[in-house]
Amino acid sequence: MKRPPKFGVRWVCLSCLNCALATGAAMLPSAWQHEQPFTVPSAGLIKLSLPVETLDAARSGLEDLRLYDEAGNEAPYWVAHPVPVIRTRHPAKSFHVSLTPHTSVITLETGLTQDVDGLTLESPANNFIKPVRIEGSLDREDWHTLGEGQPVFRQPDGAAQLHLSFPSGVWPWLRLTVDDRRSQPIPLTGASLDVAATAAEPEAAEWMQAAIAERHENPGETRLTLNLGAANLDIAAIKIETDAPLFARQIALAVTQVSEDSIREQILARGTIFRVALEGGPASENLSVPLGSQVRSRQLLLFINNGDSPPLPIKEVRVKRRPVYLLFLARQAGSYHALTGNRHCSAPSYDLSALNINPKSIPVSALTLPPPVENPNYQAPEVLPGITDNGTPLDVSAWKFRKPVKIVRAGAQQLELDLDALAHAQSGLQDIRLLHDARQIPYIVEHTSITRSVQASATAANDAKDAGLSRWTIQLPEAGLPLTQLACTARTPLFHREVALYQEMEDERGTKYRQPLAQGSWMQTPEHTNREFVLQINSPLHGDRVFLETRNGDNPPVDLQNFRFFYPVSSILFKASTEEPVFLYYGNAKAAPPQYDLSLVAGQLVMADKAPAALSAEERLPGFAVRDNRQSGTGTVALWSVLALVVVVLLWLITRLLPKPPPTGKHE
Amino acid sequence: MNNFYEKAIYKPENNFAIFPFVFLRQFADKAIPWAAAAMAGVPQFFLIHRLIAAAHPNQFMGLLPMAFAIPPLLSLVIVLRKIPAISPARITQLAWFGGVALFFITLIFPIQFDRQWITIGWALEGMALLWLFHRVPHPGLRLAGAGLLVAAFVRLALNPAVLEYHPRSAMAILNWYLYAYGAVTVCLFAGARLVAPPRNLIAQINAPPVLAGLGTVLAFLLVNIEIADFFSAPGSTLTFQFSGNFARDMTYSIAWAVFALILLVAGIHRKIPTSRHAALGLLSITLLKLFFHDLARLGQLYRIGAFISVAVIAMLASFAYQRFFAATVQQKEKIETAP
Repeated sequence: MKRPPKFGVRWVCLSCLNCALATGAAMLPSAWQHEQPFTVPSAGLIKLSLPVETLDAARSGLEDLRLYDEAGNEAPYWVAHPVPVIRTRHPAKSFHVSLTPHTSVITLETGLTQDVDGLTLESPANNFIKPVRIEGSLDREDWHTLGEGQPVFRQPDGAAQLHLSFPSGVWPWLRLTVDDRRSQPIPLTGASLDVAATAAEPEAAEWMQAAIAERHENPGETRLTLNLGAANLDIAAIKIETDAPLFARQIALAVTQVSEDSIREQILARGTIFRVALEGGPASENLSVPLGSQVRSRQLLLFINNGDSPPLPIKEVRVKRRPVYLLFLARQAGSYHALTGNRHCSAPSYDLSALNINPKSIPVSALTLPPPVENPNYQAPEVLPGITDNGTPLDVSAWKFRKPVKIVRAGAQQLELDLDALAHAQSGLQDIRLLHDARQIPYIVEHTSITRSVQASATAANDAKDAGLSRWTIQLPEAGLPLTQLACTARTPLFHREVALYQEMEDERGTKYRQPLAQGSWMQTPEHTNREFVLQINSPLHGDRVFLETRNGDNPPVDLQNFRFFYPVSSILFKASTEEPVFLYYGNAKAAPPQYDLSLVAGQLVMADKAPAALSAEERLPGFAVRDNRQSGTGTVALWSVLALVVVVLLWLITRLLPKPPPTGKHE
Repeated sequence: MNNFYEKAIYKPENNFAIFPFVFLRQFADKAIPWAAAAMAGVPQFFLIHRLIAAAHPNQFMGLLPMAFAIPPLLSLVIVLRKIPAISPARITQLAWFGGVALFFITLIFPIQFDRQWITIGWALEGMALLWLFHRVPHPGLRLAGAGLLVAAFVRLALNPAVLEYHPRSAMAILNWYLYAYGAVTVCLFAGARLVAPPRNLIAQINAPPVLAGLGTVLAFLLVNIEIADFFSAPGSTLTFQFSGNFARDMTYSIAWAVFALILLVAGIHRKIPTSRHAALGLLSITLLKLFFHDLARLGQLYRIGAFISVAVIAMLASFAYQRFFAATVQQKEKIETAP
């Protein structure tokens, strides 16, 4: 008779099992921050869609994605990005336009035997909006209506829609009837046809909402900062939801990118959104803009060009995300771990040729990965470990100003330069330095398209001798501000004026002269609801006073008020190891731009979670009293006297030393 | 970067300066070791100058060439005392050390300036070498001196980049154009005097008229640059315009006429036909400009005044030509016809 195992033995066995499981977990590498455990029910080839959380946690190219099975063995995998169908475009074989009293009729021969589902018209006209009827024919006799009342337009600000879409089909002939009843006919010079995709892979993209993190209203432009919720998403398009009844706007999509040792905004795509209603027809709209690229950061910048129109009310913005598939061969059923979050590992190189798989042919598994959790073995590396705070010392005696920088918490920092710093630093910010304990802290400059406004006081400074001239003296809060725009409001309901903005300069001889800063043509009509007028400033400002001037002719003066200037926001990104204050130095006209190795890891700095740093009150340094430019031939009278004496003595000495001149005539 | 300069300055290989003095007896009749010793300071000077200008910019840069002038002067003393006068290489050794010492001495003033100090340095060194040729009759000195003067002229007169992108000078007339062009002009004229016969032939070229001619061209250029600078609009760069501003046009005409008059007087006084012909040519151009261009813009009264001025200048020129040049010719004819 067998004796049942004792309790102690059972406890030991259980402990061993726990240890084994714990050891299995401990086998996961410690350099990966995130883990997503999941269970594969049966062995075989698995294709699963990576959730946005995984894409967010991983590096942009998924270089740090790893799969481990229950035993701690690394499982090779393959990442598949569904390729969007590339549509081909062909010019029409023939293109004939005939004018009738109220329409322009375009008859075109496609010259294609494939299915056609759209065309784009070409026209040099730049201000029109017209409805179009589309008809197709196989023999140029029987015409079938394919579309009715589709709008084509182009606005002076560049917003345009010249694409027409219709049901896919083989149409040797197409006829477009452009309605000219509301406006003059426009020249139409050609068309290109869209060949419908055949055997297209079914579109698996999904729409997801993007949070509007920031909204800035620049003059004539709305700037939205969208939070996509995750980085590294393949975005096919974005869609803007708005209640505005009728509008047409140019859209640009951008991301921040490291370029030439600074961070700038890089435009990814442009397009037009519109909602137009033509006479007698329903409203037609296109609120989406194709993007078709991977956005490596969580932020996407959306610019809406409003021109003179009021900003659009935007309810929400949605993005169309293309899925990313992970394929791997599960050798046995059981637990697997997907690991992400390692900034330093290189991309794996698996030999998957033996699998000989066609990812399109494999169905997507119903398996879902849970949200990433912290890898229990993870040992967190230092944030931006390559960046140390023991930078090179710097003699700041030539710098004129400094400001203490308040650090809230150690780590990556973002510091927006204020008006004092922008006014007193070089225009290219070459003289900006960050110091802690007299040692430099490397930084990188981020130039943004965000603009901030500065209120300016304007007083009328008309010339009593010249009654037809209106002039305003505009006082600025600081001299030398990097201003880019002047905006003001006009109360006069009807006017058309040429305006000029200039500053008064004084050259080294003391002669005053005008330096033009901007000029423009401002027109106000009763239909024009926007009373804001803007001038783009093209030259740097030197003083703290500028002048706006216009000639009234025989008209009464224009009433302008609410003068505001705009300047672009520039920030510097750096890493602070401590919460002790660091100092921002600026104001050295001779300083060359610093060259920090930080630009090599600028991408990491951009991606890092940055704490906002703030500037305190400005302090003047001893360098403020030192003159900037050494004049040619400067020096005290004493110095020149000493030099003259030295030269005379040396020449006398050399004259005395050298032998007397020989009698002439013996040299030749 | 600084390490590079430090290595360049302190490397023992660069101490060519003392090498021939250590082996004085062996190298007494040689030239090349002494030339290397004399020239050793020149590249080191430029390295140290760049280092100081970059790391410690100051207003006492003139002291640097002064310090560098001392070693070649000491070397000169040693050569004069230790090398026998009968040594055939002695004159070459003196020429090298004297030339380098003068190079640094003539650099003391130009280096204080920001602009064109190299060009002025060349001109002063060229003039100094021509003077040295009087004491140390080594033909290389004369050739190098004249070459430096011509190079300075080419840099200022034939290099358009000199005038590009320069904003209107901070001061009218007494500006960097005056000291740069003026100093080189003076050096060219002084050089012409220093190579007067019998030292006048350099590679079979009669040097004095060439140097004086270059000096005249540079002086004329200076006059025009000063006028252009004076009338350049505030905030603009130096621009040459010969119409559109009556005061400027008249200033050009008057300055050209005065320059031509001085040239004529100099030509008569020094008996230089080329100078007289050039003066008459310039005067003719000035009169044509005045007659066809400037007077068209004048009112009746001013036009009369201008005609009178033109007449006075023309009469002065013809009087000077008749009074002095004709008298000289008559005197010459008398001498020739005398038995």
